[in-house]
Amino acid sequence: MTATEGVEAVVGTTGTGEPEPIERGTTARGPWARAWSRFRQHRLAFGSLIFCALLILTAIAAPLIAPYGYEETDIQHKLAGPGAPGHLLGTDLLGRDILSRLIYGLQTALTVAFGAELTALVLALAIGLLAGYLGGRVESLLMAFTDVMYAFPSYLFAVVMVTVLGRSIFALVVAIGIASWVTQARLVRAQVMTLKEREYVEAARSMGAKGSTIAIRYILPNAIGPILVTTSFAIPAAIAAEAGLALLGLGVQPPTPSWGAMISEGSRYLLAAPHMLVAPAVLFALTLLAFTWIGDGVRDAFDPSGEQR
Amino acid sequence: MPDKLVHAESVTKVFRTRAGEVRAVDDVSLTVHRGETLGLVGESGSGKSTMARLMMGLQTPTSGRVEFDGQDLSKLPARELRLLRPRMQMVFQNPYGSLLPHFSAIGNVMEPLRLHERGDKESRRTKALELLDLVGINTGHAELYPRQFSGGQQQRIAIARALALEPDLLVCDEPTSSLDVSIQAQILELFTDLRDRLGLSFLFISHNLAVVERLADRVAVMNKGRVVEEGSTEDLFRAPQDDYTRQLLSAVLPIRQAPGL
Repeated sequence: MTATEGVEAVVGTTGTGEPEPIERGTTARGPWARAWSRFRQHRLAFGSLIFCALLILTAIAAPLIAPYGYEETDIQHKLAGPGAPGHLLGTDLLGRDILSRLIYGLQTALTVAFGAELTALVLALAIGLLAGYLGGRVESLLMAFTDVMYAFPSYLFAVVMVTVLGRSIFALVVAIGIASWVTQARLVRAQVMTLKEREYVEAARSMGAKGSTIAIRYILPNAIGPILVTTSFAIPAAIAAEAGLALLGLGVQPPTPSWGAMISEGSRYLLAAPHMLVAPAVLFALTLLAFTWIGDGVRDAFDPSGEQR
Repeated sequence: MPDKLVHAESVTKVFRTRAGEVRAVDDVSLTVHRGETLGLVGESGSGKSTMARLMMGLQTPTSGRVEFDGQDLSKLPARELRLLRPRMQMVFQNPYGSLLPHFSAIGNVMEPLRLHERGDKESRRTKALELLDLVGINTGHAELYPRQFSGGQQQRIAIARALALEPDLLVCDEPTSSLDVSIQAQILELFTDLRDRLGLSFLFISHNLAVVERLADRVAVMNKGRVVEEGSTEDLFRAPQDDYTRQLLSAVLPIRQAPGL
C-alpha cells in the first residue's frame, strides 16, 4: 500500500485520486460489526446465546408452554417422580407440576435479573458519565456517594429493601439493582476519564460540539464495550442473588415460584423426593453457566488486545 | 496590508503542574492575516501546539487576549464561541486519534454539518461526498470506518471534515508529522491546492522547516515559549537573524550548516 502511495508521491501527483489501496477489505466494518464477528467466533458463547434466547422466549410465553399453572395442584399425584403420567418432571409436596413451576420460576429469575441490571446500568451510566465528564466538585460529590454505597454490605441492603418494600419482584429488582450499580458506575467513570483525553474529544470541541453531545454521542459509544462486559457478568450474578435471597426466605412471596425457593424446599426432602431438588438445581446451574459464557464471549468481543481482525 | 483574521496580543499561558508552573507560551503576539499562511516552527516543547490551541480558543490564555475577526475569544460566552467555531477549524497531528472511531468516513465529515444544523441529512451527505472527493478519497469508500484507511487517507478525511463548515481559518498542528515521508509530500500538495482553490488562511505548525518553507508566506520561530524571530519566508530562510533560527536551519538543511555547529 505504502509502495503505491510512495510512487505517486515521487511522480508528484496533486494527491487527488490516490486512495485505491485500502488495508483491510472494502466492506464497511464498524466497531459493532467487528465485536459481533468476534463474539460469533466464541462457539460456547454463541451457543449459550441461543440457549438463553430460548430461555427468554420460554419465560415470555410461559402461560402457553407450561402444561399447568404454577398454583395448580394434582391431589392424586403428590410427590410423583419424574416421568409420571402428565408430569414430565414429577410433582412436589402439594402435587404441583415441577416443570410448570420451573418455567414460571424462570420468568421470576429473568425479570428480576434483567430488571435489576437495567436499573443498575441506567444509574451507573448517568452517575459515571456525569462524574467522569464534568470532574471537579460534581465528581467528588458523586464519587463520595458511590464510595459510601460501596462500603455498605449489599446483602444487608437487600434485606432492608425487601423488608421495607415487601416480598415482591419490584423490591428484588430495586434491592439487587442498587447493590450492583456501584461497581458499574466506577467503571463508567474510569472509561469516560480515559476517553476524555482522546484527541477526537478536542477535535469535537474545535468543531463546536456541546459538552453533552461529546459525552453522549462521542464518548459513551466508545465506553460501552467494557460496560457491557460487566453487565453481562452481572446478569448471572443477579439470578444467583435472587435465588440466594429466596433461600433466606426473602424472595418473592409464595406461591409465586422461584428457583431459589424450589431448591430450598427440595433440599428438605432430598431423600424422599430427590427430583424436587435435582430439577431446579440443574436448570439453575445451566442457566448461570450459559449467561456466564455469554459474558466470556462479550469480553472477548470487546477485548482491545483481540484487535487482529 | 490585508486585515487581521486572528490576532494574539501578548498572550501568556501558564500550566500548573505537580512539578511547578510551566510557562508554555510567554508574551507572544502573533497575527494571521486574511488569505495568508503563517508558519509556526520550533522544536517539541517550544509552545507551538499551545499557541495553536490559544488561537483556536480551545484554551484560555493566562494573560493577554486572542481576537478572531475583532472578537475577543476569552470574553465570548460558550454558546457564541460555538457559533464562531465554523469559521476556524483545526487539523490535528494524529489523524486516527482525531477521527471518531465509531463513525464512518462520511459520518465523520457530516458531523460538523450536523452539529451546526447545516442543511438536511441528504444535502449533508452530498456535501460530504464532494469534500471526500476534493481531498482525494474514493467516494466508493465513504462508508468505511477510519481504521480501515491508511494514515495518509485518515488525514485526508480529517481535512475534509475541517473544510466541511467552509472555515476562514485552518489551523494545522503538525498535520504531516505522523505520516510517512512520501505521504507527507502528498498531504502538503493537497494543502497548497486547497489554499489556492479556496482562499483559506492557514496557521501551519510544524517542527519541520522544509514543510513550512514550502507552504508559508510568513514564518514565526518559537523557542521556549517565545517568538524569537518572525518574517517573510524568503527573508527568514535566506538571512536568519536569530541564533536559534540559525541552529534550527542548520539542523534540517545541512547545506546551510554554519561552521562549528
